[in-house]
Amino acid sequence: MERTLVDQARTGDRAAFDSVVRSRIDTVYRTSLAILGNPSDAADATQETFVSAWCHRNDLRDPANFDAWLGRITVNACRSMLRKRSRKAVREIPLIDPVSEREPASTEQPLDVRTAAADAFDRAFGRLSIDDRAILVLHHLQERPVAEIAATFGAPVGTIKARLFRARAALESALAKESR
Amino acid sequence: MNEQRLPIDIELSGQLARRASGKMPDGLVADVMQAVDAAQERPNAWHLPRIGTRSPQFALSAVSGIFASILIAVLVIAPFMQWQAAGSAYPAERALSTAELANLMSGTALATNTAIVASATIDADPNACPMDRYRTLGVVEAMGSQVCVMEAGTYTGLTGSKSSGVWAFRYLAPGILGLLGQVSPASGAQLAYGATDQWPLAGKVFLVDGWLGSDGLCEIGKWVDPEPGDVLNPTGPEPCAQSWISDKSSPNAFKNAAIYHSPPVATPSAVSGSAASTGGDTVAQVEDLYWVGAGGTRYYDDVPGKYNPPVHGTWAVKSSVGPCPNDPPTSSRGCGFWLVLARVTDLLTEPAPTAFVPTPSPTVAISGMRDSAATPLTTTELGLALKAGIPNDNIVIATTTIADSTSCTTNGTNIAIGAIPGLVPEVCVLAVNDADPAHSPADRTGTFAFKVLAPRLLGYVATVDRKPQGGAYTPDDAWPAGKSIAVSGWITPNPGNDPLYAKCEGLMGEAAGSLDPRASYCSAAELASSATSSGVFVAQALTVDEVHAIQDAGKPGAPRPAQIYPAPGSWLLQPFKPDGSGPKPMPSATGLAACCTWQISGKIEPVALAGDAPTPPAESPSPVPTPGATPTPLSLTGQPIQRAMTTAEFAAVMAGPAPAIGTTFVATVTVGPGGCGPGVSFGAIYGLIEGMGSSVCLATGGALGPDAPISRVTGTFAMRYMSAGMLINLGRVEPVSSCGLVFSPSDKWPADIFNSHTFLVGGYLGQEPAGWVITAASSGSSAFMSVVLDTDAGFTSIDQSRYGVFVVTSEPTPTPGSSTEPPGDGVAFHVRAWVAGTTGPSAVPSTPASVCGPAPTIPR
Repeated sequence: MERTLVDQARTGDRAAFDSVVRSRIDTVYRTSLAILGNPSDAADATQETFVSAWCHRNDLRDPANFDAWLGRITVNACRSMLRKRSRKAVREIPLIDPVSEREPASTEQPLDVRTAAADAFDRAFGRLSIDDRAILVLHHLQERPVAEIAATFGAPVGTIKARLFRARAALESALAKESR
Repeated sequence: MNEQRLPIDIELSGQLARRASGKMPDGLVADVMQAVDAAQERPNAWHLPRIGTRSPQFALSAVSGIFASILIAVLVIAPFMQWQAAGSAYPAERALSTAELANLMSGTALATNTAIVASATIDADPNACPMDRYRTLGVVEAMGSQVCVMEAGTYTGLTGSKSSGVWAFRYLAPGILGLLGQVSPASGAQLAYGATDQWPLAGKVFLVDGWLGSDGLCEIGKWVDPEPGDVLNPTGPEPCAQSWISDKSSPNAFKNAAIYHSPPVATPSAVSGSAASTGGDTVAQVEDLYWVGAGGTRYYDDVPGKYNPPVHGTWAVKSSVGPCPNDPPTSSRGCGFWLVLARVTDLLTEPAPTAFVPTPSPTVAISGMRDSAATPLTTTELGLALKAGIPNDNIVIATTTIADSTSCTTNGTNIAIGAIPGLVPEVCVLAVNDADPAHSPADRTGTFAFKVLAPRLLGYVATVDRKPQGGAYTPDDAWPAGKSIAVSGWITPNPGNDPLYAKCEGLMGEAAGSLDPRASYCSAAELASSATSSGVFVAQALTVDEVHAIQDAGKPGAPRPAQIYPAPGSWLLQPFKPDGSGPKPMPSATGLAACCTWQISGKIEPVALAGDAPTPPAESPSPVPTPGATPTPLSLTGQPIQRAMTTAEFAAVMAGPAPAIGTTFVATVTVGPGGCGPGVSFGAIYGLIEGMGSSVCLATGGALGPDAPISRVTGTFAMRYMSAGMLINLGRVEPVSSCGLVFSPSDKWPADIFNSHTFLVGGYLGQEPAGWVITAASSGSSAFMSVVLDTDAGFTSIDQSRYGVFVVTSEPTPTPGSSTEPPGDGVAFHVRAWVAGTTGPSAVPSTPASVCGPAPTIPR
């Protein structure tokens, strides 16, 4: 059913594409948000992702690879967004999400400790390249199979594993700097 | 499902889930749908802005709102614009002669993408100059040395074996021009059209003298970059702007609100006629302007767009055809539009010689020291370099003396502080620091960074502090406070949320937005000891070309669809003083000191001296390394012939001048445990290389290290130089046979090639439509292997006609459609590095295993 929708969307069926958008938009937005760390940019990247997917729908050869294909577009949209944001020279101050704030603490750490850790993590994560961020998000957050991540990046599985290791090492190094 | 799962880090997963949490913005789905609708309606020739109702100032209420915004923008901004005229000569409104073009191409390298108009004859020869990205059309006649002409999307081909005329080119690299098209002259007496002339249709390329301006389609302040397209087919859109060309900087058409409110509406088949349409179509003249598409030109020629004053110049324009608005994709109709291909560069050439005399001219790098190992020039070498012609504004570093001079005086702007003794004619040195007009060195003998102001005139920039043991500093060294230094390291420009940008809030103008090195204070780069490690943030001064290179790297059709950064190189760093006492005054009260105490002032590249043997193009080193890699092969005893360096030879190389970071060697060594510490920057430590005289460690470079301390092992390793005493292990090289080290693409691979192997392949690396290949021969039909150019390979461009030896790793990979993971059912060959010094042709042919015996078994 899902594959049929993608197939129909690929041929220019807007209704089918709209269905695909509705089924994927949360994933694309969460991925963008995790990579970019900014809701406004994530929304823009989400919009850009689907517009690009629609405009380049003929480039999708195999509907079975749709998610990997869409993932690649998402990462590219995030990269583009990050570049534009950096050139705009605007500092955005993230607000504490009210929904998250209302959630009960999942650990026994005091709020200020958790906030400091989250802040340090975000700053360290922001030091990573967009590809490093993306690969960590796809693997550790979305738990996508390595083969799908490999398809997303257009790289062999072995390379993705090495990149995962490097991205993790880069994050640890950045975290170490933040904790000094 | 037979799928190997890597472990998920719960803590990392939790932090990422927190980042990704929160309610999705209301209306995002609707925004996306509307944006897709708009994209569906968007014609290729006219680019409407991306829209979204989440921006209250710019709700998608009606298209008329867009143009109301335009009108507001014009009415608000136009009175405050300072219309500025600029020169337009290429030179003096005429095409370069063939001799002038030859002179230009044999001289100092031009900036990439320089647009040239020249009269020339092109000999059609599709095989003359194989190149990665563009198809070869032929070579330009009477150039002395070979000048290749490449084809891209805007030109369909030459007719006949020789084609003479006036051509518009873009300079792509020394000896290589890209053809934009054959220029149709306005008349027998005049080459360029006027901005209000009737322009030629039917796909003609022509020149126009006039003002290029643009008007915004988005709300004020929402800047969207133009996009490049391809340099030779620059169909890049201007997402938030629409360009025009007029004979006035402020066209009369804009005084007519009715006209201004009317968007260009394409008329089908408007370009098929022989005369311009006079109705409201996209190719018609609207009072005193033509609407044009100019996104790619703005991108490549650095022409500022929306909300900037119009720019006067000579523009190469083409009448083009694109899909008509609102037509379905299957429509066969076409609508016309004017596409600006390039801004013709103002080339102030010297008078052309009466007859072309081929004169060998050394290649002069853009700035620099004697070599990539950051060895300053001597006084004599400085004289030779200046004689060879270093471009103005470039930085040259030399160990010399600045003596008093009575004959050196001010140039009207800068104060003279002395002269370089021993150079004839005299080379004067002026102070060039804006913040300190009398800026001069305390010690008149030392290593100095000079800016070239004129062929015999230098500006004193700084005294360069040298590392006590010689060579450049690394990011891991302790840098001397307050000193200008040379640093070798891997640069990542503008990495992510760089801290300097975060300090730029509220800044306006060039300091906030420009990437021009003379104005960029609100961005940072990271200098690290390796491609994978974190390093030191420094204030960034990237050239626009470098920025373009970064952006190009990820574009479809780019020669290598991967980022070229981090990239190795040597850099001149100066103390970064945001208080205005540094190299350039800073905007005050920005708090930038919190980020960076150093600023990159320039990239250090080797200088070829006038006394050096000239290198004809056919003998130029290949592959062409990325910035920072050494362009001249090291004199290695063992390569490129069929053996690795011995331990003693390798020890001698390591004890000599520091190679460029990223240089790859192949040597037979013994690696043992201990003595190298845990290793952080370069991945896990693989071991200590024995017999080097000093401690030289081998690191894994980011890959997982051995589970247990390695035992002592002797073998032939491919190793990438990272810093003094530190190399990255690219792999233990597997030989072809008992007497052959370098595979040919025609050799038989090891039977278990599916299990990761590292080996050397000699051949011709190049890019074909289906991807990268290494071929056994430079031309014609020969054995080949398909390869993937690894992100860290260290080079992006290959001269396919040159032989090289490459470090290749085989990796198991699933075949398309397969879900299996390693061991998998396919294999990919990754080119990981070019072995230094292995520019061909191969001195010793591959010796077959049948003669030498089988390769020894290597423990795996």
